[in-house]
Amino acid sequence: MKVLEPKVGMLSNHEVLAHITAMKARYTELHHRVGGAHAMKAENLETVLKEVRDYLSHSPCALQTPKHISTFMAAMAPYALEKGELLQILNERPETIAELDCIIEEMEARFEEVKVQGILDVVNSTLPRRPKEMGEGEA
Amino acid sequence: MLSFFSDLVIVNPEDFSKQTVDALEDQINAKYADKVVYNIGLCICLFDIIKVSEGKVGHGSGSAHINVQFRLIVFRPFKGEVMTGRISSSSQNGINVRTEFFDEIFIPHTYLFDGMSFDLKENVWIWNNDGNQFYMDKNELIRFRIEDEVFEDQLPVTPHVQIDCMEIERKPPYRVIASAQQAGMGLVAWWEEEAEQR
Repeated sequence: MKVLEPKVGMLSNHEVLAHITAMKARYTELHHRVGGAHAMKAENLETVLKEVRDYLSHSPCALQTPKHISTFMAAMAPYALEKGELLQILNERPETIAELDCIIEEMEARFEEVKVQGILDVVNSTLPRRPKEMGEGEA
Repeated sequence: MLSFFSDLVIVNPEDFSKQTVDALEDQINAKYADKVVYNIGLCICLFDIIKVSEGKVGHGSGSAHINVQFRLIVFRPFKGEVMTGRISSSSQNGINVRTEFFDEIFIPHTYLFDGMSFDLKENVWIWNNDGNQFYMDKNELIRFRIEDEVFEDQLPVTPHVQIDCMEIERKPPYRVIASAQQAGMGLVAWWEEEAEQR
């Protein structure tokens, strides 16, 4: 086993979720068509895919579509944000200035308050809100 | 993130009826899914196959040995990344956090807010802020920033050591150290209330 390049690219949570969903759909379809012999045999694969899917379906990316993402990226172009910061905003969907401050380094130095509010407005208008948490409302 | 791997994949004869691509994908996923690769991260699944060489059939077993280059989806948060998880347990040293698929996230007590104190009776950390007490209960959603990661090389244990101590303390292959010190970090519920008030 050889690692040719540890970091070839970054994936947003939404892309990972889309890939996993497509993979599961392909396996289910194959299973129906050909029978049990060709179904996903590896238990560790089933486990990790289920767990990742559970985690991602409770995160903001579950309700995003590629259109949301391209609108968001176009709207964010005027603000000079790093790739990692854009990725985090997409994955975490901050709703308050405090949350944005955690994601963007040196936010106060790089952007004045009007711009920061502008970024939050872009987030609110282009990205759907987080899915409601399952944990809330339980005793 | 995506990582580029190259590996020798062995396809057993009973899988020859499958499409080569499918058989390779199954073997790769079976080998790498939910496993930690040293200094890379937790492998989730195959993303795509880049290059496949000619398969050579080995003596004896009749399996095909194929050289494959492929990309894997790997979980490895970068330093400074902000994530959300649930508190699994607390101790005097700090707080253990888990996501659905990854358990080994730890926030040492030095990386918590300044006004935090540990309640021994209930085993929770409490944040004293302006006279308000905020409890960090189990299973609460908490936002944290990644500070560091620790990879442990898992060497196989020699047989005679294994016989002596039946219960060996194995360090997890991949641990993440996090912090919750800035405004906006800590329990998600604390900051949500603030947003609603505005």
